[in-house]
Amino acid sequence: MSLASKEAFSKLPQKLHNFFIKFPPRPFAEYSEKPSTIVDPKFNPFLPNKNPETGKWHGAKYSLRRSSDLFKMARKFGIQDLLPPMPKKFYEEKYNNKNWMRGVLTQKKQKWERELPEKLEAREDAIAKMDDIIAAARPRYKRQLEKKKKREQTWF
Amino acid sequence: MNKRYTLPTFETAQLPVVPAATRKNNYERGIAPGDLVYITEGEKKGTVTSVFHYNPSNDAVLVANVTEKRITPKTTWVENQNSHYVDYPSYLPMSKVKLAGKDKDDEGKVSYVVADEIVLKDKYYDDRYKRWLPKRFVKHHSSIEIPWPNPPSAFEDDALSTQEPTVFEKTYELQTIAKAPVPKAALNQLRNPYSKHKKRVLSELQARRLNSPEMPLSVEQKIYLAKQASKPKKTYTNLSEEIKDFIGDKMAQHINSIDNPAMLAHLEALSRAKVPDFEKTIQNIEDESK
Repeated sequence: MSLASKEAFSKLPQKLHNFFIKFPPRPFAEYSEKPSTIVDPKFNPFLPNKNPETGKWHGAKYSLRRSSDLFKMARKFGIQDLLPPMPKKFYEEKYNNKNWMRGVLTQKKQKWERELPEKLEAREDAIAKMDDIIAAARPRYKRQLEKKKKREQTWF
Repeated sequence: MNKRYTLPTFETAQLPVVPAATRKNNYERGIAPGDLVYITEGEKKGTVTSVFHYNPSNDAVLVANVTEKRITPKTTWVENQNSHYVDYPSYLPMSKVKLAGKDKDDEGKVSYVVADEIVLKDKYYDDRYKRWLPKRFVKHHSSIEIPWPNPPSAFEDDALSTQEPTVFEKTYELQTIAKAPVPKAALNQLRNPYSKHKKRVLSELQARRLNSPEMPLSVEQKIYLAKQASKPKKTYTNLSEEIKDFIGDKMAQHINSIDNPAMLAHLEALSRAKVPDFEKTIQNIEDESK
């Protein structure tokens, strides 16, 4: 079953229809992304706007709750992009732009746990360079090393 | 020191006081004047005597034949007393006595049952005391009941006393709001039907007093109201066909991609929901077009 555009429009909920009469959909009307003045033709009904005459701020025409209702309903019909820009994010967008807490991203751990990889690395390093370190501290060790090299058996 | 060797004094031995919260009256304690008790300590140890009085504040009893020699000041002398030095009844704490019951067998031989402890249970109405009393049993022997004694001063009717049936005779009936105290026909004679307080119409002065005056508007308010009135009325226009098609296309594209029948049913229900504000908006558009 495929719907024609007229049929589909008849399924537009009254709530959204009412909103679009008052604030036409996006490509046909522009809305500012930021709070502006109430006399601005581009003013966004989801954001607070200033009265330039009195200098007072008017609260958003549609509260966060009402705007969320509109967005979620519009999303079900696939027309969420036609609404003016929202101050709030929803679903995947909200999750992806989430400001995670530092502790959630990287665990602090205990001090020994934090220092363990460095410590192991230093240990490996010391074992690898063991002969040089001993030779530096005890010069006679070089002769012992030479003897050892001579005595070393090979397969041939 | 033994009391026998002390000199008699005015002072009385003070028994320990029972705290008010734990005090019991003699019925709760299971003892009444006229009861027999067995004395377990002191000079009269081993004797059975009768109780005169129970003192709840000291948890002690006055019993017959337990007295102490006391010097009494003259102000407290009773009739026919001619010496300061008298036998004075003394209190025995309840810990030094045990309740006893008298029993007579068929041959008339009297024997006593002494209860180490008693248990109070099963309330019954005692006609002699004219009150509800618990039954007293020897602890762990629920078959041995020690009945309450006869009250020492049973009331006896005399020539001047009122008879019991006379007391219970009902001679007065309580008046209720269900029945008016004054007959309806007599009300007009008691009250003034033309009283000024019964008029249903207020005079001008009264009305003015009852209603607060309307506050005059300030200059700023008047300016504001004039500005509001001069502003054009907010009007709406219906969505153009172009916009309708645009929205319809987007919706059709989205709805056609949905397979879930439950989701389609949900969208159907959403699109059928009525909104009162929408009707107002449509009304506004219609009014404007006229």
